[in-house]
Amino acid sequence: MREVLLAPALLLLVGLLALASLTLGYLEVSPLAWWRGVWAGDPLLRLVLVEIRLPRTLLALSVGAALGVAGAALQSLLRNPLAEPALVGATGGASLGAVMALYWGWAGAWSLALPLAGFAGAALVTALVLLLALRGTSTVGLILAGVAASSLSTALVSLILNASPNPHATMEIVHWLLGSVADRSLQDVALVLPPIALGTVLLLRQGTALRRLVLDEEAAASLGVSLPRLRLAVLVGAALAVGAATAIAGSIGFVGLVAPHLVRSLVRHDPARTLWAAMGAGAALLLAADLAVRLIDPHGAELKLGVLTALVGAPFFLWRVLAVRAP
Amino acid sequence: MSLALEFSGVSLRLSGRAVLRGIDWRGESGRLIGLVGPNGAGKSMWLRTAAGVLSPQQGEVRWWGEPLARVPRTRWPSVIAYCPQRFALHLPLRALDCVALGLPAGRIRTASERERCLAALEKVDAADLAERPVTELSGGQQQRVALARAFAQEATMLLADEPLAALDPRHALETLALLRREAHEGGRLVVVALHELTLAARFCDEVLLLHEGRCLAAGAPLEVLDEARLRAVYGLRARRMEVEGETVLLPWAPADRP
Repeated sequence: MREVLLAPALLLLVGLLALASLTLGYLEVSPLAWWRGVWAGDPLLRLVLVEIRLPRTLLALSVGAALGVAGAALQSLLRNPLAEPALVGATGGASLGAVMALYWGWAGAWSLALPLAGFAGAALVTALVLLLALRGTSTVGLILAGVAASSLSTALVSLILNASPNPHATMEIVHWLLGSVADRSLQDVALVLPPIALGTVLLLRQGTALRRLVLDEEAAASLGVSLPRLRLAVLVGAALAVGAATAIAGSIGFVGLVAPHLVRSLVRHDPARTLWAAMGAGAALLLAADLAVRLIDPHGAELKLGVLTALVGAPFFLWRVLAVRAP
Repeated sequence: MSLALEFSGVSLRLSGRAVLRGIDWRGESGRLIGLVGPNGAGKSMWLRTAAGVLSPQQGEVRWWGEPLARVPRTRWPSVIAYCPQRFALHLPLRALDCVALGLPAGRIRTASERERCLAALEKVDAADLAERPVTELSGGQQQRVALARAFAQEATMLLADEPLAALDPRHALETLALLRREAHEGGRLVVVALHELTLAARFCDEVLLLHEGRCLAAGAPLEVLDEARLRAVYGLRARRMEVEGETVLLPWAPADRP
């Protein structure tokens, strides 16, 4: 019964959170007055809705969904409950690209330079991981390639921070790295939605193959699953979705790790349905987290989204590590 | 009976080491074949190659006369079912959902598919385990569920790698009798890798003796497993005795000891 209700329940939850995200913010207006004003055509309120709250809501929704589905797909592909989207290298690559855009001032010169540099970085590092990973045949090789590429991009980001000429530039980079969906434009949204959608669709289409991979790799292969093709599809899908998400929102940790675990037992551990459910759970988590950073301290500096998800996510991660039974 | 599985000149190398060397073999449907040989003889590699999991560097495997490389992957589950030695799930799936992985979509979609999975569990005497998480089952129970998963595929060929390894004697006997029925009555080709020479000789229509990646002999069990070959391949001395009108092969002692 709970399986039948899960999809409508998740949809309802995401819908309510999105509505709350459009309703609550820094304006000193009651929710009722806010929507009445928007309905009546108040130009200021409409401007706030379209230019500030709508992009923010859409981004929290799509970035969360991308992280959730990518985390679920990678955990199934790597047969490892602790796998997370950052493992494919796209997160590190996108961060590196974006940090370069900030460091050399491209981001100030052209507003789309930041996400585009993030895309380029994500593509480059993912290509490196693919190159390393597709030569070998083992899953462990894939994990190691991802870890190596992620470490390399983290090292390069540190190098840039180290070389940064003034504290302002450093602050800007660090703030970006902490992750946020605030102050993005609809143009930004339009830029990242297509790759996120494309990657997500690619990942969702691997459901049956990932389901068969619950058996060991040989048995899955005998059921007609082509492992090299599945690996390529999941890596490219995750890189597209997560690379685009990171390029626009910075690195937001733990959502991709946590979302699949929240829903897994609700779908009887079926990897294919976990993809869908984790997508919804990821969207709900990030919408809720983004609401929380707005509401925790409305008058001070806003808590960064990545900081909050890490603060909540790290204890969860620890609990998972302790709960994973030795085989 | 018709030609189901064919190896022609199949050689397989894994990380530079030859594990199968020039294997020629033809298997007809409706028969239970025992794949025997000492540890490291290449039994598992033979089965994986037959299942399409490993591609040989030389030679060709054919399913029903068609080179397996030309059979679309979507058709594989209905042609051949492969039940590996270890049953390593990484998620605590229910036994029933696990059996359903052998279905076309990998899950139960209709009432008749549900029946098919329950019937497969029933066959291996595991119907009572349907709702239990597979990861909580014992080794032998897991092995029976794994076999049920392969049965649920309803494929024309069934390959099982040491399906008796973790079973108690009663379930081992029942499983071999079941596999023989699947072959004789279901018209499938069933190949099982076995270490239990006594059971292989009793139940199989044919045994295929592998040694260091080569196919030493194939044919009627008691002819293939003769004194000279058992000594040369296994370093083993076996006794033969009459029990209830059948000749039983009994591994007795290492060949170099009295």
